[in-house]
Amino acid sequence: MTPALQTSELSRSYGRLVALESLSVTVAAGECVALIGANGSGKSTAVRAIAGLLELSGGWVRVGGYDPHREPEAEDARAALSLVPDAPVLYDDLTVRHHLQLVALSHDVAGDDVEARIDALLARLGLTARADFLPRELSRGTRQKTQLACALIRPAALLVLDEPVVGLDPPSQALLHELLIERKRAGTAVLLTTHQLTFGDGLADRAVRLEEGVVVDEGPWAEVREGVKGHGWASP
Amino acid sequence: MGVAVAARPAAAAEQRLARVRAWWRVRNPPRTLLQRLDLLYTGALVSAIFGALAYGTASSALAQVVTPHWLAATGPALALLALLLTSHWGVYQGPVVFSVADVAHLLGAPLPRRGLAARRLMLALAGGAAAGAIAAGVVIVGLAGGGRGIAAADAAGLALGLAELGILGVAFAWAVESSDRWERAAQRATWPTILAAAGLAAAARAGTAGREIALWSGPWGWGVQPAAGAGDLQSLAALLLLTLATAVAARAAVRGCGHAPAERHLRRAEARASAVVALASYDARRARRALETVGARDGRHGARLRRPRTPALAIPWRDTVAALRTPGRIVEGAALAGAGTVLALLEADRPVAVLVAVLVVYLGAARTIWPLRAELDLPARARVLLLPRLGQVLLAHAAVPVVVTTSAAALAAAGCAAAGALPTHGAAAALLAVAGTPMLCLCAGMSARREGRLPPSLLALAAGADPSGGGSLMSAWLAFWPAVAATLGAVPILLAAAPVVAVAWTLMATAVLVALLARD
Repeated sequence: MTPALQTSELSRSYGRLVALESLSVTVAAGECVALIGANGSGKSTAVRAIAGLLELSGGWVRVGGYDPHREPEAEDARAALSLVPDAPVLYDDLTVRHHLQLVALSHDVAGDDVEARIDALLARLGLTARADFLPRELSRGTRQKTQLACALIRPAALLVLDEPVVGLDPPSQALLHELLIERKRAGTAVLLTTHQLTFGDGLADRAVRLEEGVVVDEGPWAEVREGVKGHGWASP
Repeated sequence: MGVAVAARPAAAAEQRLARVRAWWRVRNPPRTLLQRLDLLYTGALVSAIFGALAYGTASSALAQVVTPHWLAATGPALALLALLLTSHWGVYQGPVVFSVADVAHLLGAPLPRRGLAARRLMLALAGGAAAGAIAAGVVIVGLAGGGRGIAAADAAGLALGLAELGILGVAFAWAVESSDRWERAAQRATWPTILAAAGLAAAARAGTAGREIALWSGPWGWGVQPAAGAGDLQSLAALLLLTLATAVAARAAVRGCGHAPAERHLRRAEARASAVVALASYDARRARRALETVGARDGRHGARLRRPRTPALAIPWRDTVAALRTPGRIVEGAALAGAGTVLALLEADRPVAVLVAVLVVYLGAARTIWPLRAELDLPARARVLLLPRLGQVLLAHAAVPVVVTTSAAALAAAGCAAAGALPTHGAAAALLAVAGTPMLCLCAGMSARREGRLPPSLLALAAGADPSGGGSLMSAWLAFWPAVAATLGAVPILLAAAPVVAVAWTLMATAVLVALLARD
């Protein structure tokens, strides 16, 4: 079976600056891998490169066996990958519900029960009362939840989340943790970046630690988390 | 463990895109036929009223400049420059425009990118044709003015030629927008193209043979032939060639419209969003910086210069290192300063030409003074240099631009003298033109010192007291220092016959500007 995500020697430079160098990672279905590291360590670059939003300087990526950088094959990679970027990106003139409808349509979420599924997800994320609000009427945290809802409303073989808890209050963080564990159990692969190590507890199976774009440690979550303590990372 | 993801047929993706479009139309319904007709009617009515009022004036004004001879001599060079501008539009934005949200939700979805981009590209190609036809309309008004008239076939041929050039320009801009290789080529071709345009203009003015070379030098010449006094058969052949080139370019653009990497769209979308925010607060410099991030290239990192022994030279040293790392800016600044000086000396007896020439030198100075702007706009990057008082820092930043532009002006003046092209009182005029260059750098520094954003007090005054709604006051604010520079720089050259007065003027103005820039 093809892994949900496979990268080999993934590299990205901006002129002289090497943002990411030789990242090789595989995420199988039902597995969660966390990318951790300080600011500027290359986590977001990795996520963007995997999602096909950044060109590669070297190496390759396969999402569900498809190359997200080569059209038209990339369409299949995009169907398999659901991305939550580090900051919410929403249309100014679409409400929360409209965003979910658009995502459902563009990802072929078919069936008569689409609206019911949207309602259920909105309720689960505590967004029902805000369903008909425009992004400018929402708080940062609520916009982040809308972005999460966009990623969760459709089926995906790989869920990629870049700092998903930024802007979320503790109950919402706990809810997201729960939702991701559910997705994992259902067979979805998860790749997430986080500064908040407690968020990975009970969720991440493995971790990759980046420093200056280079992998400096990788292995089971608990071991990498323990190793991080000596590098200025307090718990949580 | 693994996951199986079935490949999707292309037809399903097209259907999905059609469903998304249908949904979008419900959310944002397009104008109804009645609304479109109403808009068309209003547009036609306004054009008819104001067009009739403006036609007479525009026609007689344009008729003095735009003649078949002028078109043959200048048209190919202008068309080439227009194509260059279009290619630069592709570097910074381009014809296929997505918002940041589009990139996330549409380009991030399994929708066919070709389908998403094609409609935008087609609209842009149509827009290019319309822009070309409008430009042709203006030229035709001039050609037909002064009672000359113009043959219908020539007018139609020119309209077709310029419309096709518009399409060609958009197709080229799309190639630049979608490909890193084309983008680099367009950026590298800037100065060679400007020189080629100048060469074409010079050749076309030199005689019939040069004019023929300009008219056949490429699509920019083919497009203007019908109204440039070329024979019917020759014009027809040129139009056929242009049609063929346009068809090939448009076909290549449409065929390649699904292949642009998402990163290129994302960078442009983010830059545009930042620029729009900056413009909403009337901060033109921040808007320009936002757009510049798209076409930014790494400077030369190998540039090294021994550190100065005295702290007083720290800022000129920093500016010299910056100049060595981005030599393009310095070359452009020096070229503009030299060209302006040559123009000022060749046309020293025509005040308007001298004013324009001094403005060109000012533009060169403004190009070289960017470290000063960085000091003011990006204090986080330059904080280390803000330890001395601000006035001293800004004055020190003027040193390298003064040296660069004054040297370029001196070289240009020496060139004019060597070629025997100096006017009456030429030696005095040349010396005064060179001596006045530092003033223009200081004016550019003063303009930069105001920072890019219009001050809130001015906005309040413009909104409350300006009968034009703020436009004239804001334009006056923007044009203030360029106008001061043009006046201060032109006066000594025009007063070359009275050198004592001219020298006194230059010295006084320079001293006042130094004092203004050096104040904290």
